Amino acid sequence: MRDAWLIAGFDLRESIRTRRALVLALLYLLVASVTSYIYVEVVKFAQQATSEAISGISDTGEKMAAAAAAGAAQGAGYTGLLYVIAGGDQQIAGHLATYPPMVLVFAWFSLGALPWLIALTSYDLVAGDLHLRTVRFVALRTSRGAFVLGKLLSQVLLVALIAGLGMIPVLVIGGAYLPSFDVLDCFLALLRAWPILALFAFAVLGPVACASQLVRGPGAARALATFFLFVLWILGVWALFTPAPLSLLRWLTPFAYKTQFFHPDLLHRLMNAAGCAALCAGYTWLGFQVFRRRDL
Amino acid sequence: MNAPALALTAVHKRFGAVHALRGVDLRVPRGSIFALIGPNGAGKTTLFSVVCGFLRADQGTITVLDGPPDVMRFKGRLAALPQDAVLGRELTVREHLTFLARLQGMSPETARREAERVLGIVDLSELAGRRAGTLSHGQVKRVGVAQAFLGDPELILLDEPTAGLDPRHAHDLREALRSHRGQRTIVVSSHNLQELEAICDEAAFIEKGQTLEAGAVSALTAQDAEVFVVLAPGPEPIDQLRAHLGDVAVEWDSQRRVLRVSFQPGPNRAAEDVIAAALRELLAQGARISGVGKGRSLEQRYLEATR
Repeated sequence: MRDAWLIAGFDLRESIRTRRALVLALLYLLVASVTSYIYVEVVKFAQQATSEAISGISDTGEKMAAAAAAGAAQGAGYTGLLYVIAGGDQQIAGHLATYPPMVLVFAWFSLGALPWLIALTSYDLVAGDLHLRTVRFVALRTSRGAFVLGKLLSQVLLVALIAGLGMIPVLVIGGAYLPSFDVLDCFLALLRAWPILALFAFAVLGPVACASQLVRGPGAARALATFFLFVLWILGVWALFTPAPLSLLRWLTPFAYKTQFFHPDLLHRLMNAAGCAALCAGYTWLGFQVFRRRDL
Repeated sequence: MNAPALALTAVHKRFGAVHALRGVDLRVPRGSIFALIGPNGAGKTTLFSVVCGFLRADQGTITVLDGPPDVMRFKGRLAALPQDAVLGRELTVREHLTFLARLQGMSPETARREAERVLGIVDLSELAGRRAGTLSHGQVKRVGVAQAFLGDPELILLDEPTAGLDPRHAHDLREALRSHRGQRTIVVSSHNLQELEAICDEAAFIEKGQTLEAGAVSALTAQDAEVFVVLAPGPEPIDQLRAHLGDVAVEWDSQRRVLRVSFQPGPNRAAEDVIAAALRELLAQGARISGVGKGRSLEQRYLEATR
């Protein structure tokens, strides 16, 4: 493990100075900013629609009742949306409601964008070193297993770091545009969401790491990683509409673990995190069966 | 007798239809500086890669430092300058070397000191803080050589270490290698045969994935069993010399005006004795001498072996 952490630390330091890490950070910040902005606009629109609807009512009692009704309708709409996001799971929908809506929107969009951002930026975590033969400097000093594990850890740390950066626009945009925005509450909720993003990144990195070990060229690794994620995404969607036991196949895809991170039961969430780690380990191990035997 | 630092027996390696190594046999004595000589595509780099464990041999036996090639066994004991490997661009030379030293098990402080030490060997101390991506080709090569000396490994494999270096740094590197003679085993591949002859004790000729000849450089170049005399234009008393020296073989290359005397060395007949006898006779016959020496150059021997 010592060697793996050494490789992870070195690779992370190298990665954060590359143009690609900058692109990943900018893309992620863009996603965070756009989702935050969309949320702010939706809230403003809802508030404006409500005030327009009740502005024509002269009676104060009726006005209050209409405002309450509009609020209730919006609340019901939001609860319905949570129910849809939770995949029809009442418990999860209830737990989702404990998050400030803006954080939830950010987390949900991030979880949607992360797999594709990771496929675009981490595809060469092993293939890049194979291509340039940089791996040969390391291969005489440590095992191939430690090399792959170190590379994987560095990418998880990189994604976690960038996901952390993504919280800044949420706080800035929310604080600037929403009058009733609770910065501290939002910040604490973002901190709760942060490990979710990192753990989900772990699950996604499994298939990407697998692809990166199977081929030598970075171009081929990128194509294969994107293909793997696309196939797993299709598999996940298909399994949703398939009766058991075939529906269990969805647990082979990272996408199945997204919603379960918001389960109210801590043990359930920990099991889900373990599932993500196992998925990452499983796919990485599959790729490693080729990498450990291959010519460097 | 000490076990060799490196021994290969009938090693084969194929890349699809290309048979890169066709039963290579090699024995590198401990403490020697060993030259691996061969044309492009002879299999030298493949051989290095097989020894390091970068490539897996299809057949044959490889013994590196008394065991099979296994990175965890020879961690820090075997180092190499891989021919085409590239360092990451973003971090500094010092960071790269410290990282590699730490992978060999050194503490952060020892690794930093070691990085500075090996940079001194290749005269790059002043560039320790430079990003690796900004170095010239020759500087990158010198960093590659430096990393091979981290922790003073027992066996160092250098694949064309002086290729791309300017003459001064190539000379300095040769001197650095020479200074390690007897302390550690160094295997060097190069196309510069004069350079190899100057620094190596042992050599092997490799061609088309096979070992053609191997042994001590002095034996390969017949330092103890052959002398040559270069004659200036004038008398050519070859027959008289043959008659005078007796049971030796005398070859005369009239074009290059080189006279070669091959003999069986013995306790009373060293190369110096034969030179003295030959010169006495040649001068007595009125020949004009413009040069004299022992053996053949490594280049000559290589050309003969591969003809």
